[in-house]
Amino acid sequence: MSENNSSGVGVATIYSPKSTNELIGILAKEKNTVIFGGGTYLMSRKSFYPHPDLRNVVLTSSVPELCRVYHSESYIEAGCAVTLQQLLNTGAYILSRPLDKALNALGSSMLRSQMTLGGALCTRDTVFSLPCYLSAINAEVEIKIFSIKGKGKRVSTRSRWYSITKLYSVEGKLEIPENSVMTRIRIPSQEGLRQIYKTLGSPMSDPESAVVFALSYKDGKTMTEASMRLALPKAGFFASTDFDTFLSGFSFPLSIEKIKKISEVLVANIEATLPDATRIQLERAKRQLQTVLFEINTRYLQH
Amino acid sequence: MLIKCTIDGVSQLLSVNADKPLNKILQERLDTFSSNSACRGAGCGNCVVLIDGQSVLSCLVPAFRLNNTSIMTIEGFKCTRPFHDIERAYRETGIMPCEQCYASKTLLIEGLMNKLDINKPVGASLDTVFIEREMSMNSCRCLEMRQIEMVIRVAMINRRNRIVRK
Ligand SMILES: Cc1cc2nc3c(=O)[nH]c(=O)nc-3n(C[C@H](O)[C@H](O)[C@H](O)COP(=O)(O)OP(=O)(O)OC[C@H]3O[C@@H](n4cnc5c(N)ncnc54)[C@H](O)[C@@H]3O)c2cc1C
Repeated sequence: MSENNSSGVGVATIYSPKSTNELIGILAKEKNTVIFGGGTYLMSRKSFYPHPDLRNVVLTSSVPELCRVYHSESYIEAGCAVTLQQLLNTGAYILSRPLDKALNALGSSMLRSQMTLGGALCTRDTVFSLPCYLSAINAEVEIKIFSIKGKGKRVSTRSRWYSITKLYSVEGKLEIPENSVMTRIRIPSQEGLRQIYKTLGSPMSDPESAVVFALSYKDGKTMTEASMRLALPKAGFFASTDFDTFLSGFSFPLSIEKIKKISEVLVANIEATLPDATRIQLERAKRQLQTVLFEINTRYLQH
Repeated sequence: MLIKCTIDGVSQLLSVNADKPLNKILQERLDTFSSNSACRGAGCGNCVVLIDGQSVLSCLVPAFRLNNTSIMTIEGFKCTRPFHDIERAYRETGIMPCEQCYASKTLLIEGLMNKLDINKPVGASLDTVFIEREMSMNSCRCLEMRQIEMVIRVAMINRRNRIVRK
């Protein structure tokens, strides 16, 4: 562990742990320590610098095991400190096209070389693009929850895999406990499933009107195993098993009336669960679903 | 925290708070122009500098990431040959960014050109979607994307000619 002490009030101590255990040890023992992924989100907060209190910063990128990408036939597993560009660079043999598209949609390569998977999934007050897509394809994350036990101040750690959908509340708030750290992300390869991913507007600069849309489903005459997610950055995260079941029953081609009806049901559902959704977000969500259903119709008719 | 780095080719030993953003360091200590960001990372893109040849938003880079790096602001970049490839392209095409974003757009173009393969014919190596994404980091709309693309094309030709001559 290297520690860069500096003088003055509110000045950060920077920790660069070399293993996950060391990282957890620092988080458990040092009060007021913030986990630093790529820093693109943290540093865009007004409170980051100058910070009013004395606090520490612990880097995930200094832990080699958190910077690795593994892949098997059925999934890609990446450490939380893997940058989005690093994942993109693993190439087309490993990444599915929608995943490639989802990663590419996040800023430019300049930002992606800085943004980490952990940071992209753990912003506490806003839902962003990647959680939406990864939730639709049922990706999972490993969370390590730690606590200090006994007089010897031994750090005890529990490890659990969570479905990404379970990480967020309806309002889009991150639900993992404060005394935890995300260590790995497992992205299933989703053979045989179709995935659609679209972003309308910029979640960062235009959160009141941006909409992120992701849909994964099994292709066929009838849509099955549908899993649809919407991220409305300031309003919340739409993930409804009822709506997924409702979508799963439809046979193609759908009539225009049916498509309109389905999109109206979606708007009613969003209004009921996300009261902060703006009119433009509702309209965009509706249009997006309609466009996607028309596209599926066209593809079905072409075959 | 003590940081050893070079800024515009000059070795520096800076004593700064470890979490201080680079744009603030440049503004306060070195009085450079390239750090006039007002948005704090919300994407105005007016604080671009090059770190080891890669363009970055200096408001998003903390001091503790700077040890042993080479930082180039527009002031330093203007004294280099690669700058003249771009400057000539501005003159030859008659397309020039506005005063506000000149520094950032120029450094973004340089960062982008560093990622492209100079040996490939320009037509083949330019991916318009890629250019659009990279240049979107600067939010100033004084130039259209096709104008920026034209500048990059000409700057690439200038660079290749210069390297071949050498
Ligand atoms: C100009 C700009 C444009 C952007 N555009 C987009 C966009 O189009 N779409 C989008 O979705 N986002 C966007 N963002 C928002 C944001 O920066 C990204 O979501 C980014 O992926 C955050 O990753 P990071 O590694 O930089 O996170 P950091 O800033 O390092 O961290 C973000 C949060 O996650 C926590 N954290 C980091 N790692 C872990 C971990 N392993 N375990 C637990 N907590 C952790 C941190 O403590 C912090 O609270 C943009 C940001 C900027 C500055």
